[in-house]
Amino acid sequence: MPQTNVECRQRFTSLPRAWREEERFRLAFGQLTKRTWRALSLVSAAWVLCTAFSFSCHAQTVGLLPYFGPGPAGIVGAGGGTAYTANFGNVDALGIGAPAAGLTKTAVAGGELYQTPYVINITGTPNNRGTVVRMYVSANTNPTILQVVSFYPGSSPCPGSGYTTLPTSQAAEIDIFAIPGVQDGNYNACLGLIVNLANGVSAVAGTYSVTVNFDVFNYQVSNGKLRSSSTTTVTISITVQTAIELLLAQSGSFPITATGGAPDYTANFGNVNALGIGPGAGLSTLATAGGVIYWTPYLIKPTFSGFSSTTGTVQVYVSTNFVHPAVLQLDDSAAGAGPYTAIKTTVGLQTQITAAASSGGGGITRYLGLFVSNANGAGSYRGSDSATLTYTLTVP
Amino acid sequence: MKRTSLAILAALLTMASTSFAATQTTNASTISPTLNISATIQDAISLTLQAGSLVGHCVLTPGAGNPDYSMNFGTVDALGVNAGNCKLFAPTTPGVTPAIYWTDYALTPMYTSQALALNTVAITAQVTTDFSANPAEGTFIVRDTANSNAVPTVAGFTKMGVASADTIASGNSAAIPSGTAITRYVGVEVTPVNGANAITGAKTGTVTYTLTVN
Repeated sequence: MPQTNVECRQRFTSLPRAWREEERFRLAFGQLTKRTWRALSLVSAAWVLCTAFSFSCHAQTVGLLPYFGPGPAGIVGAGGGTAYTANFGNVDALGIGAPAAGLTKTAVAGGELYQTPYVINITGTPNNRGTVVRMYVSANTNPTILQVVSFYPGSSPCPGSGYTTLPTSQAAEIDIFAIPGVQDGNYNACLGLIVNLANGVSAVAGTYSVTVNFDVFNYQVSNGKLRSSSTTTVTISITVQTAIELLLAQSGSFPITATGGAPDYTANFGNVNALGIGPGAGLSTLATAGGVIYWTPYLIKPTFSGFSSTTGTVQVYVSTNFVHPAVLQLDDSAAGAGPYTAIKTTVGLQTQITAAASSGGGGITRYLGLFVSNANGAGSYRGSDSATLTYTLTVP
Repeated sequence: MKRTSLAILAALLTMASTSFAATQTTNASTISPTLNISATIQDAISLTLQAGSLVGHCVLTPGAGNPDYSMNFGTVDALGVNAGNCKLFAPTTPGVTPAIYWTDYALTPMYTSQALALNTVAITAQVTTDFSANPAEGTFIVRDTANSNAVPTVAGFTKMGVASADTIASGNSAAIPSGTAITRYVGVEVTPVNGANAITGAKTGTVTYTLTVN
């Protein structure tokens, strides 16, 4: 349970009024315990005895609490006083892994947002004053990967957009409770970390931390004075993992269908013949020695994050060949008109698509060909057949 | 008991060999999605025509549909006065025997994914639309009588079948291999006719070629 500390300073009547009325505010996170209340009672009694002196004491507390409203609970903070910690656990810039309990995740442009609801608890606001709270990021061990954002007033679950990026200097700190401030109470907010899609030496996956500062002030409407009180911090630790993804997509009108299972994609060339008569939608034909190639453009889309390297290698091989490999053969080309070369059929010797695949972008356009042999007699086949290609993206 | 154990072992082996690729993962440096390709192979045949190679052969123009090709013999007459657009056999006896305007041309049969290594191949030709329903008008579509690639003489032409198709090439796939062009000859015979049956002006006829492979 967080503690509340109250301090008062006694002044003699001969001292300037300002000194006698000096107030000291201290921020602390948490709730009052019974022991603390007893201590306060004793202090209050001492105040009554010191009636010769005029002073006043005011204490404000701002705490970060686990969300207790409807909906999923947020991250549970640890610590107390003016320093809290939280752990966002494993995250990645593609939002592949499941977020830690209390977090939700949302894909955003350029990365993934991990957000949590939390509560700002304010107590002890002086009469005729308002509590002003301002936020900024005082420490970020990897600003290339991590960006801290805030949303107020919060909700549960937290929204997936509309966040404000927190500044990284106190001089630029932003209001969460602006002048004239707020009164005692619990205020729901959302805090998030955006994990940026990035690679290179400054974006390597690992364990990092960010510290968010809550600067507390009290504001007096009658004279417009804003007095600094104290600061509470929350340090969030986070483990950024590498994320890697390789997608296939149609480029023209020939469908390449994602299955969500195994195999990951399917593509049906339909009825084919060695004369190239009547190719299906999205397919073109190219006469070649011994038969015809049915071909289509398609996209290979690599995305990766958290690697020291900014490029990867894409390879492909026929992991399950046709039952009739003398009649059907899968070919690859960099251009629709060819030349087409047979895709390798062994895992140890794969066909290389590119050794310099960069992350994101529109993808790599490649051309997939299906050669159909014109053989008659014993070497011929009529009927259905299928094969499987396995694509591999490797990022060192 | 032994049979049951073997069955279980077989199932486990099957399960172990099943792999599930994915398109994305974390904390790894490779990913290997899979793409299944399927197709249904059908047998196929085609017959295409090409222009001949003799000097003065007719131009063969591919069409966009019906007809598939066209060939224009130009202005013709029974005495062979007009040269026409192609080659000409003038009448042996002008006014009695016909003039024959003719050309060589090629047919290329193609057949693939046939079950038999040695197929029976036949190409027929039939006049499906004649110049005239009245044979007395004396203008006919003719073909080389020998059905060979040898250049015919003026006497080596036969009226092409109208009521039924004429076989212009037949044999097995060794004799008529897929993709190999066959040379044949076609022409227009103009017979001297005067009187009520004499005709002048443009005339059009259609020859339908059929390739059969079995």
